[in-house]
Amino acid sequence: MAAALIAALGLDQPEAQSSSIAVLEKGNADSSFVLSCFMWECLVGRSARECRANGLLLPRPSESSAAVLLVSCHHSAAHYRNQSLKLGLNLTSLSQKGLFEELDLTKAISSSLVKSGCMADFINDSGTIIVETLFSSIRSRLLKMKDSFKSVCLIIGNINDIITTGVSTSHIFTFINYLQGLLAEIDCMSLVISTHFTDDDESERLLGSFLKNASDLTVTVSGLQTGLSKDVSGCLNVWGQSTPSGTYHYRLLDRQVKMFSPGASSV
Amino acid sequence: MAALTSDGNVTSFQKKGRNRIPYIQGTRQSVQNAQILASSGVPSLDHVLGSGLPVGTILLIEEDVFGTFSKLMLKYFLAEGIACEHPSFLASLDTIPKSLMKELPVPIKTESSSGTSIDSKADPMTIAWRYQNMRQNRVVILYGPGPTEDDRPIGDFGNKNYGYLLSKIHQKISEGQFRVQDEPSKHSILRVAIHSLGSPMWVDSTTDANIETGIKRDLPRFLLYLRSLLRESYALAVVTVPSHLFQDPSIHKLCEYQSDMALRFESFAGSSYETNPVFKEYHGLLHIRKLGPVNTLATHVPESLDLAFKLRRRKFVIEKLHLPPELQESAQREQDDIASGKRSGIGCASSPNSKLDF
Repeated sequence: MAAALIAALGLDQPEAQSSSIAVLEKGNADSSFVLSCFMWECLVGRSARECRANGLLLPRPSESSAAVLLVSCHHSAAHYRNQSLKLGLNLTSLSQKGLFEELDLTKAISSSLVKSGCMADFINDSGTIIVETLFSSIRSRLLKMKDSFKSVCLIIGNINDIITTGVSTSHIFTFINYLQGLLAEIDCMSLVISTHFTDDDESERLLGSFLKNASDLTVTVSGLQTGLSKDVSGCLNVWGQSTPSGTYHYRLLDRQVKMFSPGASSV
Repeated sequence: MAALTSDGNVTSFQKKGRNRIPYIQGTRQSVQNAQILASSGVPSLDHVLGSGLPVGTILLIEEDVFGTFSKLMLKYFLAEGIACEHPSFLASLDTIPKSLMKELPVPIKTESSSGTSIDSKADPMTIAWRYQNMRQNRVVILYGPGPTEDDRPIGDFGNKNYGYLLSKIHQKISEGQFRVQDEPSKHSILRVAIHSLGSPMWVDSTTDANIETGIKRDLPRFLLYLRSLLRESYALAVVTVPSHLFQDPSIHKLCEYQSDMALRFESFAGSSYETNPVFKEYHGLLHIRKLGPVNTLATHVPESLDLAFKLRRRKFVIEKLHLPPELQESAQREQDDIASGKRSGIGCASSPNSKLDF
């Protein structure tokens, strides 16, 4: 399950106040599992703790659950649905209840290139994202979700891929700035943005630094410096204002994310 | 809606829908995530990657210096497709695709399974790679230099070559009914092989003032668009990239990021390792750069990262790097003997030159 990661980030505490979270993935590490864990926390994690306190074993979405809007730029929405299913979260059934919505940009890019299916309005014919329209689409969806649910969460996976489609870095900064503005506009909203980060590429380096600066909590996912290991999948670094900073190692199992201190993998 | 049992009782238990994953010849389903896997053509590489290549993904191969072994991998990938009757698409601007197709390896058939081998039946000459023995119902689509009049580039690329190639791949996907929503009479997968993408032959000198800047802009974008197309279709791609030619280290890092799996071939040819007795059994090293998760949480972790490859007469093998056993006395040992001999002169033993030594 995802509870170990959420506990490591300190988000299981009632007084947790991280409304803006940045997830940076370094090198060839993949941070999609962190986003899946955030979705788990928003949709069933909080209610699971309440259920446990009341002596119930099976976590179910409740009034304390936050509605989630996922904007996936690198992985397909199906990837996140499968990953969440491994963590015990059926996003398909939750989307029927209106608790979960997705904007699959990879699918939108594919449709725009081949000019088939229902073309999204936030993408042009040549596969470039129009960030102004994308922001309007995100905002209207969030406001609609807020009407039905107490809190909402916006999760954007690998925002740097929008730059790869041809959007300038300054446009992305403005886009993120507008998204940060939504935090003030919509009550009980949280924002999670992930990006790939490499020092060699100037735009990715700037984007990573900007996100780190603009967020309350930064989670950096990187691979092991010594290569791959069967016992450790990678390294996770937490840095935040209201959360104790720390370095953890994690191991991805088939249906679970294990967290432990460096050197304690065998314990 | 409730289902009826054989005795007429109504039960709420029913199977939801039919199995949506079609049977495709030459593929298998992953036990871990029900992903359709296809072979790369090299069983030892399939083992390293976790039973094969997932359909809908890109395998990026960073070429060795002379491009020999990366090209060989492409040949194996295409040959496997032809053996499994998968339609294949080959694109190259560095070599003539038809000449590359003439050098595909033939399947190895054992005496016990087929009675007589293909070699003895058709031709007494033993040639490792032959094109004429391939099955006649193959579907191979080739893409060479120069677009035709009907081609229209898709995607926002500075270099139109990438747009033409992407357009051609999309055309083949839609013509062959490889899209997920298509319902052909018989499902198959399209194998896309792109050779030496981003090499100097791909440069469009009319638009790119700075070649490296053009490659850095277009190559990751092409891989992103290609991945988007492949995710929505029954197709998989192997792309080789001459990363050793790029001066900017961020180019190959961005390419690795945009691909699902990335490997780097390091050939010993022309290097000091070629004559090194430690590596005399191998032709090069294989570096696993990336094994990304596809529709799953945990990625496959190979047994070892110290991998080497060797090209035998009829087989390309990737295996764990083993150093040869130490059979001869090294210089270090000789020195040790001399040193011990000198020291032993002090004790009860005789000097090294003594006749009493045994």
